[in-house]
Amino acid sequence: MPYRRLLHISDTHFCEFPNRNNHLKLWQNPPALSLTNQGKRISRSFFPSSFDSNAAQALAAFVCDVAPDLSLIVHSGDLATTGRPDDLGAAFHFLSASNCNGSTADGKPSIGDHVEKLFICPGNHDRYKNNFAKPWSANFNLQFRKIWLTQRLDITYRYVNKDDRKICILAIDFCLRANRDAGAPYQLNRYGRGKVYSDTILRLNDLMTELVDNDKCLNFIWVIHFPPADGAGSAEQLLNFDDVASLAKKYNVSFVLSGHLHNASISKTSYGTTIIRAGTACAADEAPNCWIHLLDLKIEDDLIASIRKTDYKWDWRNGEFSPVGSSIQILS
Amino acid sequence: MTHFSEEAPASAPTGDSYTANEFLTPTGWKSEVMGQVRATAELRGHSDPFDWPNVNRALRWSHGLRARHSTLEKVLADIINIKSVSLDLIEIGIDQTIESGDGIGVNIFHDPETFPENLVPVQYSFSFDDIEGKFNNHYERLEFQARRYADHENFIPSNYIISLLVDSITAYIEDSTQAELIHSSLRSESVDDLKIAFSEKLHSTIAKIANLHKRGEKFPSTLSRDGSFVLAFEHELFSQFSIRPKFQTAFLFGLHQELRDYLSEGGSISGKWGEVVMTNLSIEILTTPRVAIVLPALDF
Repeated sequence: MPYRRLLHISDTHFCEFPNRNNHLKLWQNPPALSLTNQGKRISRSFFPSSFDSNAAQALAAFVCDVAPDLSLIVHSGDLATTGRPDDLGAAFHFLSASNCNGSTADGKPSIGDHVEKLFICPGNHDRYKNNFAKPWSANFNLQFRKIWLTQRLDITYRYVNKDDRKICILAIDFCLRANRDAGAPYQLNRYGRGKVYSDTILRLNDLMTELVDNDKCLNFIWVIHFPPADGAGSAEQLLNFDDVASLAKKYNVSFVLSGHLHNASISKTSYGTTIIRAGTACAADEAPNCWIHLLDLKIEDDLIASIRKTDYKWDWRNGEFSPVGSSIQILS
Repeated sequence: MTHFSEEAPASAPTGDSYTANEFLTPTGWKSEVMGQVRATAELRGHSDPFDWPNVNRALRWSHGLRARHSTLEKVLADIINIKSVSLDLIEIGIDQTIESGDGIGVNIFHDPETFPENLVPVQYSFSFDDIEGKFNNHYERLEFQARRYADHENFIPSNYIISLLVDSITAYIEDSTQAELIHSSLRSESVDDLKIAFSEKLHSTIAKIANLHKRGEKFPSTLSRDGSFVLAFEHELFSQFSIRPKFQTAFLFGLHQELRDYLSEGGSISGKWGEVVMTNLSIEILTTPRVAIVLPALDF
């Protein structure tokens, strides 16, 4: 079959508390309130934004409806608002609650029985140890151990089609490991920055060599939460991004899927590799500007010949994701 | 709404009560369109709001049974104390089997261009007495403005509702170290912006509930019953809007009243999912059939 179809989603920001916003937009979308959470009400307003429950429900319905036609569902990071177990649990519930068709019996959105098609990458929020972005929480590895199957510590890969090892997709985790890695002032920078670590680059290089030499893989798609290029604000940069961009060039990576900045775009690294950045799927502080992206890959002579991208935006009036504009041909 | 343009039957029943057969006829009646009064009739039935097959059937039948025009004309003339009145629209919704307690409500609205200003809009209803085999009519006058929201597609809350929301948020942050920053942020937003944000949030919440219902989830599509929101919808509202507990009763009561007024005066809340409809007893979501998502063909 000469085509593969991926659904690219990102920055869902699932959380114990839906509809929580940061204080600057508090008026627009205030934190959820229930009697059991009264004690947390003051400081919660300053915690990171969570997700819009209405957009999340529309996302779940969309995924459940189209999943049979998809080769893969790629989530490029920030599944949860923080790496706290409660928040990661909400994200895990969305991705893996079984026997449902868009929502579970308690009314929470879930894409249900499509775990086998999921491919995920952690984002900076997923590694927060607390609501103040203390880095490198290991909870993500525990919560998603059945989905985030790392073969190289902070790298995982799989083939888009199990029977056909022509297209390999890799997720690389460049989240901060320590406060000092964020750069001064770390109290601020640790919220949004990532860093390309040299040991990760070494492991990535080794793995890519193996895949090329042993598996004879011809096409590579990388998933990196932080776009490996200039253009992000200083507080949201991937530090040392040139190291990974040059490696993408070396192995002729077809394209990089990323998220992080909550707005969709297509750009290139300084070495010419295409970066397809997803908008947020359901983050509360961006609602109603929530996006998901359908990527159709055309395969010719075992190589990805072209990519067609179709954008879907959350239509709050109709409660569904609807196509916006015409499809874009990215690579040919 | 359906318009009729034929002559009404000559033999109109008289008196204060009417039998079912006198009052209803399965065939179309004829009337002269004068454009002076617009009336709609709706089912005020006994159906359990959760019993969707019954409700849907009733609404479907609303297009098959029509009130005898001359009967309603006479009743209306009595109520509003004028010699004659012409209707350009009557639409009765009723189930096939009429039971005790079934009723028909009729709302009459001003046509501001043709009616005198002192004419008060009225709402009246007929309830069926299965022992007597008759409809008994009674009515009440309502002091609402005629179809104020006839062209509106968005429910916009009042300043009062917004003030409850803002006061709630302010209360939550008043002890914060950054309270001044947030107060400034709140003050910089106009009430109109807040109203639009509120409106979008409410609409998207209703859309979510409707779509859940369409997918077969056990989420009630009844938003309100017997004058107040149902519990599930209240939970949804408080998930979306952070309302201080001491304001919650006022918020729910005020929002319910405003939503009901909005719908009864011609306002619309609708989408691909269906529309919000109001009966005398409840506010319901009437959903459209589910449509499959069609992805682009793989032939580029």
